[in-house]
Amino acid sequence: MTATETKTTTTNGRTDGANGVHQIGRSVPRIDALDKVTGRAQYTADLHLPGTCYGAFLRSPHAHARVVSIDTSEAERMPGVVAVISAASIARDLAIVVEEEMHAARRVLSLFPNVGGKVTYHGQKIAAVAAATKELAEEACERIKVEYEVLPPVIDVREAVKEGAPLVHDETKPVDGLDHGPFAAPTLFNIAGQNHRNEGDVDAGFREADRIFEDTYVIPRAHQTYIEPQSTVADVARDGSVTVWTSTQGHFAVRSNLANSLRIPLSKINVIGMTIGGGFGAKFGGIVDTYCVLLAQKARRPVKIIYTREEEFLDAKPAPGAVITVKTGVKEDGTITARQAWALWDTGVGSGGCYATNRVKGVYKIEHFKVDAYDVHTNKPAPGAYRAPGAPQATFAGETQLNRICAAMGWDPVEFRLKNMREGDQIAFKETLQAVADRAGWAKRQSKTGPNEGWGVAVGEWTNGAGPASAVVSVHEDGKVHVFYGLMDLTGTDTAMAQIAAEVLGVRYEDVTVSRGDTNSAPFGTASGGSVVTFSFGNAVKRAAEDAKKRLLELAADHLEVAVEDLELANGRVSVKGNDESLVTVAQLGQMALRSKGGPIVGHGSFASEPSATTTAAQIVKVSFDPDTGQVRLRKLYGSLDVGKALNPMACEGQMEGGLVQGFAWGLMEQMRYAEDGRNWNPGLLDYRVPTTLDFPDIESVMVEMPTKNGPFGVKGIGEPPIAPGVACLVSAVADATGVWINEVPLTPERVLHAIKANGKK
Amino acid sequence: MRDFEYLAPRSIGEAVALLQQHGAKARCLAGGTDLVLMMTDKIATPAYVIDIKHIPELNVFEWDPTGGLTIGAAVPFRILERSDVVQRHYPGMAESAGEVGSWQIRNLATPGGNLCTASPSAEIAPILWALDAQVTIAGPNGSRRIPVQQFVTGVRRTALEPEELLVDIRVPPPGERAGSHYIKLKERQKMDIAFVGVAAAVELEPGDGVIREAKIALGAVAPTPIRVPKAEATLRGQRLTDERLEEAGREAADAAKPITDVRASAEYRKEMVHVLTKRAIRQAVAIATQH
Repeated sequence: MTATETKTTTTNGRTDGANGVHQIGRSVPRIDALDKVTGRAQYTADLHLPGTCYGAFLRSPHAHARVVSIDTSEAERMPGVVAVISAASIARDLAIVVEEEMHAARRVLSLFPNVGGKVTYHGQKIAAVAAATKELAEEACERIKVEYEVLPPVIDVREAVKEGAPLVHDETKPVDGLDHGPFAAPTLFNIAGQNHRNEGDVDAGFREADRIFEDTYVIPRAHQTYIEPQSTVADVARDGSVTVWTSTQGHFAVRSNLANSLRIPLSKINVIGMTIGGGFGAKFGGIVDTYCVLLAQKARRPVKIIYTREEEFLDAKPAPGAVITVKTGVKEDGTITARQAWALWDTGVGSGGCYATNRVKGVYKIEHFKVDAYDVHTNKPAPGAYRAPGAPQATFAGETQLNRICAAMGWDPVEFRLKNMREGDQIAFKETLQAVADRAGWAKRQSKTGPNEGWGVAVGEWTNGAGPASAVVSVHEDGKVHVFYGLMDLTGTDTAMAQIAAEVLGVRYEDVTVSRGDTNSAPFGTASGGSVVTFSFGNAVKRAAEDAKKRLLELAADHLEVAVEDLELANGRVSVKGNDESLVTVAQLGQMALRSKGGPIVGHGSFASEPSATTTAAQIVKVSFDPDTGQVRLRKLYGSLDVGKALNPMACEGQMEGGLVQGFAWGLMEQMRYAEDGRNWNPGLLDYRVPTTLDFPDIESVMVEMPTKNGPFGVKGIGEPPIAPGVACLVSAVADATGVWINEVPLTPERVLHAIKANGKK
Repeated sequence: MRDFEYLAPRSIGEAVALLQQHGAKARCLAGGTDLVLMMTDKIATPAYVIDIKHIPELNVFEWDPTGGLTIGAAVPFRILERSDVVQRHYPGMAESAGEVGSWQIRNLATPGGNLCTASPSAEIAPILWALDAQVTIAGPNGSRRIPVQQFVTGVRRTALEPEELLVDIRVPPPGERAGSHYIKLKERQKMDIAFVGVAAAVELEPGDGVIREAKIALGAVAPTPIRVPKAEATLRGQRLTDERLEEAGREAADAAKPITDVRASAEYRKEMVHVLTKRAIRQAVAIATQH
């Protein structure tokens, strides 16, 4: 165990190591900071190609309706309108398709509802128009006439699974239900997916328990609310080859999506990833790019589509809501004997959520654990990923209930967790929790608590993914280093990659430049999601830099007439060990290489996939509440995270704070709401509240470094875990302050006041 | 946004002439923080946008101990919020001005525009109602002055005729021992819309704690801001006691006719009127007591 706590008071100074100045572990400013703050960074909306026309969508005003007719003729006749697409036009354009291609064509045919088919959520795309101006495109959409036969919608998952509920998709078959749990029934309806997990024997575990707790937690859908909306520009050449400029987390993912959904050969698509203004899991393509390409194919001109904020709320890929029931058995001695969870995930017209229910188990030793979880169709858009997909929801249920158990049993929530946490190789669950408890002064918190104040703690876990990544590192004749790859930088990863290359090649971070290639030029790289980037690309860049270093040392050995083993590379030069006089600079080697047998110095590195180790995020909050209005304020916030190794402590801290704020915001104010008729009730930032800086106190971050074997320099993926504990942490603190466990979020003033009053009447 | 013609008159006369010429096809632009959004969403589609910021009378911001405060229709919130005069004589108005949007918004948006938009949750309205402000309106037949309470006639409706222009807001000088306060209930600390807004303005008798005059106004709980005469009568001529305060709070809640919407239920809003009215009165009296 070598967990070390690093102070997060970041210093911009360098640490001197045996190998000279270390470039990792430095809090260097982001490599793109100047471009961003001066407005020079190029976002998709900044792109103005000659002859560009603008796309707009006609959307369903109903949550659930049958489409009786669609008449696009008037829109098509409007001067300035260059393309109108709908299910009918796509079918017409595909008329030449031979029968065996119909299967492949099904995806493109499903982009819009057919006449006779259904719209299944408010805001669903019915048709799209490209026109000379955005205003004209919008006006043309308004001139498309659609007749609907309105159907009753289903909005709540608890209603959707019942017999007699409207079927979102007519073809969804009923499934066998459960004979136990909160939604026990012989048959369940509108089921989009299932997850059943069974470890040990929960019934036996519950028999061992002294006390059993069962609670149901409800969390709504949340939108990722990235600053930059979904946006794409597409252009189609005479030969049918497609160029797409887009805001995406993965341009290679966009390329394959387009190839699959539009039946265009991969080699005929080039995707250029523009600077991205946030994604958080929602920018893997499919929301606007597919439609933009279809319009460009038809228009024979570049087409630009920039979503409005309203469109974001109506028709993007928000995080699913969930209703999760958790049952936990404990012994008087503080051990957990069994845990069981039942969950219904609100996956709208799509699927993807119920697997995350497994996270209810948390990082604890629990021998008997069972999950029965379902993705449930409702009349809402399909969900997507949102930073640690499913973890905030499942952690809300799991961690809140642990705190409730502690309150009921008179146990300290930190001590109880430390007692029950798993231990193992490369993990630091206990150290991470202890670190935040120490920083917050948890043990002495009672003395720091006034009336109407309370404290909460919660722990989240996540294991980063990994994916194929590759990079090219070149050493130029001025001694500067260049990294080239296909990495979409969302969070400052270009900066971390430059630090890795600098560290390996013994140059300063400031001497490294980074550029991203489009899908035609860059070697393949996995999309930036699942906390994979620093782990996967970090390995690729490290390998590429090591490859270049090998060449550098060979050239130096040749030049200095010594063996490679006798050389060391640091501070921009190669010297003979123990002889400071005998040296050659990296710049000189870069020049020599041009005349050498091997040619210019270029290193290659590729990485496929290796397992990482689980990381923990632990958070503590102090809250206060107003007993007359129900308003909750965050007073003190502390977060800790096992980062494996902090390549750039300032960037790590940014990830920790950003994730923490998103988690707490979901507990405090964020919620997508749907009215009884199924229409989105708050499609804008006026009534979908995200916090401002004034809603949060300063956040104190503590980093723990428990390295993982397969990460470059021990790095763990850290983008996602900090969002996981927030909801549970907040709800538990409010319970500590008010004495009431409010199991549904967000904790709006009205909900809190209502709960306090209801409790007072008991 | 639809195309429009931008017009920038330099005098009230020119502006009124343009309004006469274009009537309902024209909209006046001050800060534009409401109008531009309405135009983007095509809720408003004016063919002519008349920028009133170049008219001298509409940029007047003047304090006179006998005449009170004049706020030209083009004067932005940030001026009010930061003004020593406003902070000293009308603390409730400084509070309410500071509750609008962000700094950037408050540098553009104006109390005049806020009144003309006539949203039920308009920030500046309750305090102007409580302070018995008046508004000056210019039209083809010269100007007229009406109480602010008569200016807003409904949700997004005002007493302005199509050819008329709001010139300024006039706030009478406060009494010797006066205090005012505004409280906005919202979910976020800033940059949020009022679920409920309560303004209280009081004046104390010289030398003791008897309330000579009390005025209470509510926002976001009825189609227009409302005064609560019953609660005012409960306080007038009385010392502030917990019982009086409770009674006034209850009377304010009774007067509120809120709706249930995506932001809050009618029940919660009513209850909050009760709580916040008590707080606003208590604070206004505390400020007055310092004088």
